Amino acid sequence: MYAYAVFVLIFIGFYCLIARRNMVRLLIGLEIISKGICLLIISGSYPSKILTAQALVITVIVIEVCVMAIGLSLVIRAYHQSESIDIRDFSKLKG
Amino acid sequence: MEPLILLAVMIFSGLAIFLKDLLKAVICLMISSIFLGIIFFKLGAPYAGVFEISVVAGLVMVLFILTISLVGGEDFVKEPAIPVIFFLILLGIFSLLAVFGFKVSFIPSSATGDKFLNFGQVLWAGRTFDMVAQISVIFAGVFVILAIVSRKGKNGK
Repeated sequence: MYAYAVFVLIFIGFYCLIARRNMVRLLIGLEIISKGICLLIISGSYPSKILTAQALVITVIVIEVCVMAIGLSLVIRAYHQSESIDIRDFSKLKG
Repeated sequence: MEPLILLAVMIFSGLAIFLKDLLKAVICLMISSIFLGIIFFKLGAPYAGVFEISVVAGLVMVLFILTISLVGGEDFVKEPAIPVIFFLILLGIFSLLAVFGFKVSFIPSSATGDKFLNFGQVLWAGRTFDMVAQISVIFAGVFVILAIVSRKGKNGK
């Protein structure tokens, strides 16, 4: 039951990453994948190793928050630069 | 009870990527996080549940709503016209894989803290390196955000 939910969550996240072009939606997809990973860690270690799983999930959540904060600040910066949050508009960056 | 909560997590996560309005999508994601936190509580992981509800459903969603208010709530990006049936077919294939070919196994014993009795010992004694990594990641995130959001040009103005 939990494995199926993990699969569905990770699939929804990957589908969002592949099929969407809005940068905020891409971050939402990453968030959903992260939810699936957290559920995998907790459900896979239930009940005997739940203490370690909680520590790992807290680490995952902290890293996820940092990734989201950096990603959203990148979205704001990109919007100020080009008035767009379409990921295709940034496919020809200088460099 | 757990299957219904899991179903709610999946449905609200799906709504988060299919709703046109970004604000509604983020609210659906927040509800999904709250249900996931409830599942963590039911699985005997209260600290993870508290983190999921307070940090992910709280802090991250505030960041999302702040960003949406700055860049515009309506989804003005033209998305590719992929039919929903394509999503459902892929979901069916993934479901078959999940039912017949996937089994969640335990965390490897080398990564566990069985010798510890409570969560504090696991976090501060068994996973000390994780804590150092978390602090490093937080500092790195702060500095990166400052560098990105800073409006200074090449000449420092």
